[in-house]
Amino acid sequence: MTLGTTEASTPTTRRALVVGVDVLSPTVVAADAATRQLVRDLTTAGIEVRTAATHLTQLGPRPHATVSVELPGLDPDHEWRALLAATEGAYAVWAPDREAGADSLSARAGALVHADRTGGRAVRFPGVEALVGSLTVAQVLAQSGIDRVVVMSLGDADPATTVRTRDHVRPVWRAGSLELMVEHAVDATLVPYEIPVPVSCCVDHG
Amino acid sequence: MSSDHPHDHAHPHTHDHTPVEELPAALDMGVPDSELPPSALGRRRFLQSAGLLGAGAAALNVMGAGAAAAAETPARSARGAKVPKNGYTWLAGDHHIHTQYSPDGLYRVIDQVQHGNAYGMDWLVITDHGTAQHTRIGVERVNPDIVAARRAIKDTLVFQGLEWNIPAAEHGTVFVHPGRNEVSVLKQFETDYDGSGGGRSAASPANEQAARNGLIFLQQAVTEKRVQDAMFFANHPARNGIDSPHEIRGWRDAAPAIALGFEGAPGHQAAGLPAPAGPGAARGFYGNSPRPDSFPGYPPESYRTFGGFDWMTSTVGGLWDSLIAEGKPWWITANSDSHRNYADTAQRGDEGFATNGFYADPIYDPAGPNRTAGDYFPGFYSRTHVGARDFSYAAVMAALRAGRSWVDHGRLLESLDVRLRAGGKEVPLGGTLTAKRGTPVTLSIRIMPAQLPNWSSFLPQLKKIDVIRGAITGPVTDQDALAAPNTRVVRSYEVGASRVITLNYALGRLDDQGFYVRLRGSDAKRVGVGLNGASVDPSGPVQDVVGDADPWNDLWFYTNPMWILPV
Repeated sequence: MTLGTTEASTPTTRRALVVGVDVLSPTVVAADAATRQLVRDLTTAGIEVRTAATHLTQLGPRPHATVSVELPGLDPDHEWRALLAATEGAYAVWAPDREAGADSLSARAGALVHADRTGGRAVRFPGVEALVGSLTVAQVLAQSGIDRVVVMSLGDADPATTVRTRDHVRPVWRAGSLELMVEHAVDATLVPYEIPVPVSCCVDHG
Repeated sequence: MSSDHPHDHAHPHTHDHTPVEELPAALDMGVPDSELPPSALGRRRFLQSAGLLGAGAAALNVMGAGAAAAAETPARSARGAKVPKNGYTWLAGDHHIHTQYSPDGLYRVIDQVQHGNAYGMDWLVITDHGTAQHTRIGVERVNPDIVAARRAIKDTLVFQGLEWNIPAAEHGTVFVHPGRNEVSVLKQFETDYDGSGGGRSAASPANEQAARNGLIFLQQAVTEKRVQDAMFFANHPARNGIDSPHEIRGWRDAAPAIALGFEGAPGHQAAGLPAPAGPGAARGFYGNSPRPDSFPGYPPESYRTFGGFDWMTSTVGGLWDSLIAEGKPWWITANSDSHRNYADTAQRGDEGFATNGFYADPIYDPAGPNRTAGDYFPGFYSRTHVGARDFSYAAVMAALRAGRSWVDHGRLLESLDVRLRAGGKEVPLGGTLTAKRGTPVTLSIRIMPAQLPNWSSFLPQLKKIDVIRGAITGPVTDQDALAAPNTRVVRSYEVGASRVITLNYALGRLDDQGFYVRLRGSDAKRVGVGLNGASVDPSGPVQDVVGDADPWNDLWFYTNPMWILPV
């Protein structure tokens, strides 16, 4: 894989602070919005965010989605304080040996799998900005932190195939690898499994 | 309407004979253990241990006087459920149809009924969404429209129902037999149990219980004779992954006479037609991915359709088979889910739903055909065929309850008659046969492929018929079980153009465990290895391509299962 930063696989990276944030997002779309807002607020506060992810959970008062962010800075206390400021009123915030809020079980679960790269749906990851419009599978692999492009229930995608990103790419970590699930689409292209806007029930389908 | 039936109905039927489903005494829970001869008692115990009792028998038992009459004496009912001499009257229908009383609807009731009738529908269920407006206004206001449609279109039965927001889960069709309380029972049900009200929507154990309570309410409404009959089918069950296996089992077990099955194929079958000529979405609008309230055990592919069918049904050895293998009667249907139909030229008369509870009657849209609409009129593409004893509301409901039904797309078949035979006895679709261990078992298939062009004006070509078989494994310990590892396609027939296809498939001698069979077939235009591998399903339906799924070039039929148990 080609990453913007090669230290992602160095021991330094492993020590990055991964914080789980739970604002009881009722939907994945709401969790995406919460993630973007959090990344903006932290960036404004001068805190670097290397990766950010969402997680589905059925812990807590109702099924919901949580957020986690990976902060590679060198002053964890400073980052923790910035994070608490940015997430004032959150249901829970969790980092190793620290927690705030009512019930941090969900936030903790997300942060742990994110830190281990064993789970989490990545919203922000190296190279995400490049994944717009149409690209080949090879370009997706070369230009971003995505390690594998997998066609649902079939296997690794042909590197020459075109992926129509629809400007919405949400790979997931699985066993240390960042994988983008895709499926076949019109004109022999591939599209990410996740559509940008879920189809709601009880609304007009066009 | 104030009477039990529209009295100007073209088809003669009477009030005093509810079609009776005769049952062997051992199967009829209306006959107490103490009144059974020892042999029948032994058989009942076996069936109970296999999970097959409390099923069809219990379902019938609560349905008023019918089953009790059938239970007169063990000797009489021991003759068993016989196929009528001249066979059943096969009636095509659709239990999932929206009108101007739905927030995403458009058409008048008569628009849907008139089209459905023209496209060959014998019975239809009007199912507008449960909403605050529908509870307050629509559920009452739609009734005169339905009554008028019954009068205007005499050879199509029109049921009133609603599309229930199942608490903690997806949508489902709930409908009742026509009668003076059809509106009041539906209104009370919707008020007390619809997920649109009372904080009942979210996934939680309390709301899962509310769903079961709703079904029990319907069962009581029948027992107390407030309505003659009522039933529930889950709609588009795998679309969002929120109908968990334990919820499905829970519905059925809470009210086995009411909770009868799910859509094997969802509606919205035009949704995958490629843009710009079509909507360019996912077939069935099955294009989503897991949400927070989705059951975590469902794989990513479960959110898509396969050959137009829901993953729960299309996967050989999947969730539906796991229910059947348990011995749970759980039936599939195929419906239009018509809201706005592909390439139609109607548009809403106004946008007044939020305040009025309905849209004004549709008007012509001079902008031309609606190419982003994903639905078809009832009967145009999806059909559910039930083997009824006569042309009546009660007979359609009895056939649906018995699982004496099959479904097809694009009018792939003209007719189908399948029976399971052993020891000189036979049962139709949905039936349970019993025989001595070692008795040879035969599957008798009589299929007439399409003889006339379909509503896309071509003659569909049936190319293959698959026999699917699985062992009866009894009740599961894990209520979230979603696989039947013993189930596989055991025989495939390549068939060509002909008037009638008659097949007799020898299923071998009855073993100690018992087994079930079901059928499936297709035009074989899009087939591939099934999700459980070539040894299970070498040539099954293939995942539909999002934005590129032409429903007319991928046609399937599916039947409900039949069981055979040793005695």
